[in-house]
Amino acid sequence: MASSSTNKFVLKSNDDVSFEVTEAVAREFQVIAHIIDDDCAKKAIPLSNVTGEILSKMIEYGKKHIEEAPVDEEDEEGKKKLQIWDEEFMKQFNMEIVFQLILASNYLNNKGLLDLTCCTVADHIKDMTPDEVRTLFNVKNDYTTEEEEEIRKENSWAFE
Amino acid sequence: MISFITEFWFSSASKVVDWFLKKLTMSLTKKMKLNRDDGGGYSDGGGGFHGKEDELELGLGLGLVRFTRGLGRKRILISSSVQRESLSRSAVQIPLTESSSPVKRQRSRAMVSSSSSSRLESLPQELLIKVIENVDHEDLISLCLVSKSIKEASLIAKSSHFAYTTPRKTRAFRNPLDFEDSSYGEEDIEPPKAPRHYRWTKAKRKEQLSSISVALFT
Repeated sequence: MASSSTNKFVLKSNDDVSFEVTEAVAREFQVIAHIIDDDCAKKAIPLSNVTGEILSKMIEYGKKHIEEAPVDEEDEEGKKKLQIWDEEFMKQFNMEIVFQLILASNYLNNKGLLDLTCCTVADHIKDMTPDEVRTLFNVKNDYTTEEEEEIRKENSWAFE
Repeated sequence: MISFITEFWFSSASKVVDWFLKKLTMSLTKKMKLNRDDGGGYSDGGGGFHGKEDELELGLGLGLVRFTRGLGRKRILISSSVQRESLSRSAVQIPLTESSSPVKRQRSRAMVSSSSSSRLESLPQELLIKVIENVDHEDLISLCLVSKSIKEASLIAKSSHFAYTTPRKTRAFRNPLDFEDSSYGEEDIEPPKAPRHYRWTKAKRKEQLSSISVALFT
């Protein structure tokens, strides 16, 4: 699409940082794609749930995925490259930002980034004991010892 | 127009009521007077006292009625509104006193603690489920034990996602050192001396079936 690359849209975060993106990048986020389709994107699009910091990361991700998008389904090399880039991309964030990215990508409805961020958190959880998970995410243990024992008993057969 | 009619109706109604009450009280006071006279006849002090009390009570009742007469239909409104006022006041006051200090404080405290303490738990449940769907089967049990909200989410994830996926081959030992060189995971490691699976091919199955059918019909 030749016309789509010339169209520019302005996304405005909740702390008043504006980003100018091409239509292709803007369409990476389904919510914004709908706004564009409905012709409501003449002015800057306000995104009240996203901070500028997070939005800039999301645009970076969107740009990369537009530029380096695999040519077709068979383009294994391109896919792999993108995957490696995704991994590197996620490595730079701490948990706090990852969670904010999850919320933002859910809000802007970008499936790729949502899956990626969810996977990142899940990777942290994998092979952890409950105690480790609690300390990592600062979760309070709201079980009594009896309840905990009961769940252990209940599930011991199912997860063996 | 309608209000005028209702006003008229009410005023006439109140007049009728008034008239009725007057008659009633007249007869009552008459009776009482008789009573008092009787009382005076039989026992001078006590009966008179009783009669006075009755009159007082009646007077009070009359007073109330008279008071309402001027106001017409508002009588109902006043009495009910007074009741309502007291009711509403009590109804308002109870939650006010309840919510004023302890409940609100508790709520705000809970909000603050949940938002500041745990990012994982502050996620909406659907997202939490999405996160949990990316872990492995064997991690579910430890997730269930983390906390109640996470248990709930992981149980939903279990029924919606894990029930339909094949678990990875579980390691006999959780120690990754044992398997460092043999990259376990995607590649299937065939156990040694495993029995060969015999697979029916389509042609063979057909052959078999045809032989059966022949055997049956000859």
